[in-house]
Amino acid sequence: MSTIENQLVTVTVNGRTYEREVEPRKALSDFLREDLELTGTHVACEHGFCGVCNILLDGQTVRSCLLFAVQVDGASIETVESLAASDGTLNALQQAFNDNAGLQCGYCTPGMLMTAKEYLDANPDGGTDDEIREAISGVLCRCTGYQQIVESIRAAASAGKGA
Amino acid sequence: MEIEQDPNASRIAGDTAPGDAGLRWIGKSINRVEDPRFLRGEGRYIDDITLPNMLHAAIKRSPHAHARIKSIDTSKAEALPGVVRVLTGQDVKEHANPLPSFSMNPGIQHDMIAIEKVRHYGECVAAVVAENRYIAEDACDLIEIEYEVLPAVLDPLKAREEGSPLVHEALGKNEAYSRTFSFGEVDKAFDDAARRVSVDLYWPRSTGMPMDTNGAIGDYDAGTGVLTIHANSMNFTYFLWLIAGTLKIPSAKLKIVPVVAGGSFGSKFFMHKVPTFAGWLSLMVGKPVKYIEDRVTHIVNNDHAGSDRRYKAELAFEDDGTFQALRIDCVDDYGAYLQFGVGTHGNALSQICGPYTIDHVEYSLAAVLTNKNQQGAYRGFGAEVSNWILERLVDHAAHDLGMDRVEIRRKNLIQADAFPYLTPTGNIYDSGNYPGVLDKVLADFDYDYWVKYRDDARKEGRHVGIGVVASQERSVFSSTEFWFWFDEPAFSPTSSPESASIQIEPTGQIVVTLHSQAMWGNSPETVVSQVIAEEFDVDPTSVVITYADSQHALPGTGPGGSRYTVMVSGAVAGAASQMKDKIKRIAANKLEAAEGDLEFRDGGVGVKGAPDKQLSLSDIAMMAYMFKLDLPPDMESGLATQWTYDHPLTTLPNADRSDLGMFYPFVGHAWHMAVVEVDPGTGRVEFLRYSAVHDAGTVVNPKTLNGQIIGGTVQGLGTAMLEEYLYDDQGRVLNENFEHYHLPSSMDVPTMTIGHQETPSPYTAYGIKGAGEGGRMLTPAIMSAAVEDALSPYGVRITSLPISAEQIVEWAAGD
Amino acid sequence: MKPAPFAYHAPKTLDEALTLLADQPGARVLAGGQSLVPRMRLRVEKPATIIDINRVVGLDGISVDAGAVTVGALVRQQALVTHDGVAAAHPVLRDAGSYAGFHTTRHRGTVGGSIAFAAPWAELAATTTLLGATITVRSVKAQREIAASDFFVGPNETALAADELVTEVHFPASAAATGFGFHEASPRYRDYATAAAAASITIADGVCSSAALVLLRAAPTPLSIDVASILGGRAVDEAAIEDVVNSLAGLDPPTDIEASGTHRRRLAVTLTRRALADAWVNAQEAVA
Repeated sequence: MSTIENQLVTVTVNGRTYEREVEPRKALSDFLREDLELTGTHVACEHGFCGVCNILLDGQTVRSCLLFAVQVDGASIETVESLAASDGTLNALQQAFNDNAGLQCGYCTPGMLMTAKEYLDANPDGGTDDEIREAISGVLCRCTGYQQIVESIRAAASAGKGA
Repeated sequence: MEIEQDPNASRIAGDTAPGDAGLRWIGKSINRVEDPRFLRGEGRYIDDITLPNMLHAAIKRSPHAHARIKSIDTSKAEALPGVVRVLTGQDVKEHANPLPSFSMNPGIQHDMIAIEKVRHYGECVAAVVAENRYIAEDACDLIEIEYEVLPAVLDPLKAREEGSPLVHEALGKNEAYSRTFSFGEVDKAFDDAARRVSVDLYWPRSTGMPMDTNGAIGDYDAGTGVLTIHANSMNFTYFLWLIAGTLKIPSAKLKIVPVVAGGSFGSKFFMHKVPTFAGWLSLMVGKPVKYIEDRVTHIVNNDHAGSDRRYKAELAFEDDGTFQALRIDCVDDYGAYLQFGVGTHGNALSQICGPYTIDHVEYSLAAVLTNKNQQGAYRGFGAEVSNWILERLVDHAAHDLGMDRVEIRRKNLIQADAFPYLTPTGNIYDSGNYPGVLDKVLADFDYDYWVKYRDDARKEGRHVGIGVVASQERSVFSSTEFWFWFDEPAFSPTSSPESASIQIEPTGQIVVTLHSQAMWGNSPETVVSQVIAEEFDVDPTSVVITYADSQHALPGTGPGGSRYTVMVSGAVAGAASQMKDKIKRIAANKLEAAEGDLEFRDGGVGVKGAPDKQLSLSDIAMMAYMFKLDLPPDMESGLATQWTYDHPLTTLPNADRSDLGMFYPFVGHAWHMAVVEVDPGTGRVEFLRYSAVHDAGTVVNPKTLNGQIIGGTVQGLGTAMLEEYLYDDQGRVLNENFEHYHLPSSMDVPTMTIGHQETPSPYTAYGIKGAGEGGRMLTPAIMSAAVEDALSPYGVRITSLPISAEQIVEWAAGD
Repeated sequence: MKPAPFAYHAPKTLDEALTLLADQPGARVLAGGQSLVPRMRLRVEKPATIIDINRVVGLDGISVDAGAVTVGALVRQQALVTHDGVAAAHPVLRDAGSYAGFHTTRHRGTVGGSIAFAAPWAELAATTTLLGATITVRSVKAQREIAASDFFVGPNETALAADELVTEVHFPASAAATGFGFHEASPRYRDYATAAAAASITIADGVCSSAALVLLRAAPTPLSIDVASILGGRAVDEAAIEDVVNSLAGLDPPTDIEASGTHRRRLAVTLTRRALADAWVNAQEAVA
């Protein structure tokens, strides 16, 4: 029944360039998870209201469930898989989350980390707790109640580095 | 009081009691060992798993709350390219049995797909299996269903009346259960008491709402007849034979593989519908099938709505504030099915009198079925609701007397010398020092300062309010709470064990296998690692944790009821004890020493006071696997032990249920104190201060425990201020997505200070008590108290949740 | 929740986009996608054709000229909110704009998209109306300017014809000595507005010389309240503000799942008081 043509998408994700053919309606979140097998980005609501699927598109957080893969042709994306070293060593931001109990079930964590990374890149000194809370206000976490996430982000800033 | 305990359980409690020498690893805030993989995005949640040739399922949901299915035309759906199979209730009727239920009532039948009628908005009416989820959803849209819409039963009070439409015709009525329990002499106590206060309260439906929904992959191997189901929600390994019954396969051919869950809060607690459904789909199409609930489906169809209750309650007390008796009458709107029977009330009865010396209590319950998604478990499992009721009554009693709300509570606290304390219902509180917790929170909170602050603010026209709340935190349920409601239950299990096995590899590495789907966002691996480190003096990060599938699993109940940390610690301690016995025998034999002279140190075992007489765990393990002739003559090869740790303190109810027995005996205690400021113009509530002190016995890991406390508190905040299922008059859920079902964000919640007190349990390994549910047990009561206090110029009484902005503005407007 | 299938076009020029729009009745224009895609995910909209205009060049400029601000339709809301020149010329655009969702959604959400989608809670609907903006729209056939006060016809309904695209929004310069106030109430931080009030007051000779007030959610579309006739020639003190509040007595705001009309009326009163008070203070600062 479908006469809709697939489109070719060329996109750089975590520094590697991929070329794939996709249906126009394929969500970016599904594209990352299925076509590129980068399952670190999670979906929790699939209608743009929770931020769990946040990734960096050309350096800015976006809700990946609200973009179609065809829209990121030529773009550069960073997901949670870009943070740790190639041998798996956690980067400073991830380590700060580990040190400060910034995660419990881990499901929102990729979205939280990418949002934190964006914030710390722009505010390397961490800012105030209120500013940190504001920065993550668009990502829902049901486990932690946010307090230890705020502490993790502040600790990452204090460690002298963002992500 | 004298308590008789299972000798194995008491031995484990005794061997692991926090001793004078202190604990080395238990009590340390080590980093969670689970974290690294989640931080790297390598969590392997259910939707991350792909099997070869896997297909994808989607369901069609009923648009009606109550309707007969007249016809289903699947032809257009079947014709859509990429669709493999379309299934309806008729297929379920032909090829499967009903889903199991703890309510054991044949009049209340629950099926994977609605068969002749739908009983709630969002119930599954058809399923599509297709090449991908996109096509499956397209096909669902093409299924044409003719309904005969029936009047929806939505009001539990009306549902009880003669002539109401019936949710289950076979049951013959909507009131599934009705009984009054009486403990002590309630009527007399009320008559004798000088005063009483009464409340009518309403606690509406909300739900745990984890970010990761329920999902499963069914994978049927026709060759062996084994059905493997990968699932993020199956616990109770010893009940899985019931699932096999639904699927009409031999239970020995069912293999459930546990998968990490991104949160549960109860909603994955024996959540069997989704895994059974995925397994059944695979049986039907002969290929692996993945089914993941989308968010809307999860909201309307998740089998785990929280409590939805109307209460009339009274507290009898004296002029000096002494509490005498409690009377509670509850109508509980269960929804369309009754999977846990009325177990959520069992929970309440474990601590119905709270931390107070109240000797007489009456509890009347009517459980009513309606056309809504059924209730299940949500953090607190009903005890958070009864805490709210009790604390509201206590606040009103204080107001009635003009007595300070802290002082009236202090006056009635069970004292530290009263433990183990027998509550009126028969459950016990194992240990506690409630005044100690209170003093700690007062010191942290600076109560007098905030009272003055509030009073000064009031003079300036600001609406500042203080709330204080005390709560019990019962932990580790027994299975009796699901059936002691009935004098002659159809099925009355008394088991709720947890298991662990330990293997030491020839290289000396310790591998612990857990026998439940245990990882919900709690810290099972960290707890186990800390216990192993404590037992063997090894680095906790060196322990390898694996999970057994159900074919290889010992009995395990899994998390829920704040039990997992306690139970897995007991199981690991038991297996460790056996392991250490064997190691000592091997070492004693090899080192020619007495077993009593050996100690575990530095990742090995050696003779006390003789540092050179040491064998590493690798030395021991090598002997055990490779050098049989170096072992004691009667010892078999291998170095693996296992332990099934039963609930250490369960007793039966008596015949007339005037004594429910001990069913939830490890009870923690907590106080929260908060200051809020309310904007009467917009209804927004801001936090000025929030202090919490919890006593959950011996704390394994303070950092992770704080996370549970904060997370639970914030969920309670959602219940108190934001969350509620909204229905129209036809029973359709109006807020079936995140646009309109509001979860707390980082800007809606306080920053808390948290203190701990540790009054160990005499009955558990290391004296640990469970604490995972705790915070949520307190927040609804504290928000009610604080907002009521803030709005006291308007004489407000909070009688229902959530406390919405609109309600606050209306009170302040007074017109 | 996956969207239904659609044919997809990503024109690179405005003419291409307009031609597609003219040729494909029933097509939906995809700009930021923060409002449209959720609807597609929930399958309440199943457009057969999507015209993705994100690649159209020339629609993402911001210019500030002597206090007047011109914004291309594809300017991202976050770009507008963070633009210092815009904030200097029209502080209310930064203030109100920061209430529109979260920075993450504003990275995609566009000025033109928000205006064309015309959600009844859209802060831009209030601020364009308050500031007397004109909205330039184009079709293959013609270009025209529509005053903001004429643009928002109903909830999610605008004066746009089916083949028209918003291309630009022009905010004329405010008079010197003008101050703004913006207040919003929502269930949680940055949820869609339950109600909002946007106010401006201009001072001359120490009293109010002109004023404007726009309410969101007090009516199906942004509601301009005639405050100039009440406040003109007066100091905007408590009594003056109460006179404005009294004029709101006839409000009949909508009831929906989030709030009743009664609650919205009460909020309108509270937020009006606060927005006018702020505008008066800010106007006095602008004088100084």
